[in-house]
Amino acid sequence: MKRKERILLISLFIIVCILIILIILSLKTEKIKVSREVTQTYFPNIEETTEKREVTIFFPSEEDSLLYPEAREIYLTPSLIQQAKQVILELIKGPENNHLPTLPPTTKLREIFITNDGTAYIDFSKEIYQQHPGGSEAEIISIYAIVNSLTYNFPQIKRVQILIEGLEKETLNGHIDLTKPFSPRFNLIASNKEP
Amino acid sequence: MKKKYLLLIIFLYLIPSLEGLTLKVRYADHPDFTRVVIESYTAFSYQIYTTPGKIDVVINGNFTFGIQRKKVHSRILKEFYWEKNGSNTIFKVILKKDRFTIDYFTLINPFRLVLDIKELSSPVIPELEGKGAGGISNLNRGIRYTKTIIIDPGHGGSDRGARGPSGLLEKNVTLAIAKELKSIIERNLPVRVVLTRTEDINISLEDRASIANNQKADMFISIHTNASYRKSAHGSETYFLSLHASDEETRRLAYFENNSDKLEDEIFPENAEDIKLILWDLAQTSYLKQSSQLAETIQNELNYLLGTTNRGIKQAPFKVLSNVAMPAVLIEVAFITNPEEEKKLSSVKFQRQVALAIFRGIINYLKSTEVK
Repeated sequence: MKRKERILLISLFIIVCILIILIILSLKTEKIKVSREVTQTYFPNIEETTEKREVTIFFPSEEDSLLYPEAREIYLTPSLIQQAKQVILELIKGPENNHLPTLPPTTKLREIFITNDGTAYIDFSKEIYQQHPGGSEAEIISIYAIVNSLTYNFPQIKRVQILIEGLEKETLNGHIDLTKPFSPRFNLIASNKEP
Repeated sequence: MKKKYLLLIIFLYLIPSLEGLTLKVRYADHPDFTRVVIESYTAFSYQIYTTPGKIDVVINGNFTFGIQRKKVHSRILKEFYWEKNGSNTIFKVILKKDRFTIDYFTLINPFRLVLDIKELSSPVIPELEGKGAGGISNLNRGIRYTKTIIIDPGHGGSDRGARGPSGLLEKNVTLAIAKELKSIIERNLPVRVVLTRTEDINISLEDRASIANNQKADMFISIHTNASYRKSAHGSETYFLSLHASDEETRRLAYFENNSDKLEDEIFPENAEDIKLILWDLAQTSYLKQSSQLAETIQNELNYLLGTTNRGIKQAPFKVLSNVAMPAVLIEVAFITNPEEEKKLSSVKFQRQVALAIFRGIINYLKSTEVK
């Protein structure tokens, strides 16, 4: 009897151990799956068309707190959203001339939505504020580089709201209100200034 | 850009070397400023330096002026003279008053450099002027309606704000200046000063505005230090609110501005809460004019302190200002991202100077509104 009991106990123990190991393993694989989703990079698939168009995007400069234009070529996709995405990606990529970047280069563009009344919602990853220097000047310049670059090139876009990780965020780093859409401020563009 | 610049330099180099070109100077007193205009046939590049009672206009190139030295009959100007300094010509303006602000810009056809000089009235502050008897009583009328001032030290807790190149944190600088300003105001004026935070803790932007509104304060002053991608960015800026001027909102705003008195009587009780919420959302809009005046008086003092010459009053849709129902400004004292200004910001002496400058600005604002 005692032997039988022992054998039973040991086999029970082994079964329980195997179960626990299985559970742990399944949990781990689940976690891995989840983290893969989170760290997935966002590469908006831009359709490569043969026709291209020129766009003007705006960057800050060491000279003053205004925005300076740079020309870029983008694919003339039939979709406005795809064109807007290319402008934002160029902005993230940074300046080619002697200008300064305005968005952290690690920022990812998650998605763009444009409503019928002309409000564009630009959804960025969290790096846009986590890697941002903060401060009123830097916030104003970053925001209006986005807003002016879009509204300047696409008359269909009348105002721009910035979302972060799919949600509305109060501010980038405690200054400018992001909870409402921005109208363009072309008076921040250097060439528009009075000589 | 570069080519243009190069051409300009060559142009500047050639022309004056042929003959020292003569520049014309004229000036005029206007009701609240004095204008000095330097006119030239060719464009010139220049730098402007100010010290108490004196303005140096360094003109790059070999120029001359009609007269060596000239006494001037003006409210604020005393005399002009000029001298050569290597390849530069320095035009000097001597003023009757030490304290002033200057605004400058250029015009073309013909090329003119315009300097607008404004006298800064020196407020009577007992602490600053020794005994200064009667300082407060002079102000009494101005501060009759001012009972509470809110000072909001930016950031705090896990939100450390911007960071200087050698590690200075914005949240610490803003708190130090706010505490200094509180003690200066309380020593000199019979008003209550409330800080939105007195230690290193997180406070939401909404709560900062609520504190001010719940205290029924008369003035809201948020203190920050600026940050930029530009390494050379420097100087003070004072902001007041600009609205997100979306077309819809502008219409809504115009409606409320025209109808807000009537509205209060007409709302039905069950809707009262909604309407109040909307009005609360636009809390700052009815104070924009006063906010802009407060921004200007404070910025003038900060320009004087830092020797900066730009106007530095700007408008932007700041979250913390939008919900505040009183005159409200946000001061970016200096750029913490600029190594030189970071060093200044870390010194107790400079923090005190900034607090005194803001205090002078507040006094000047109160004086200007006392007439009402």
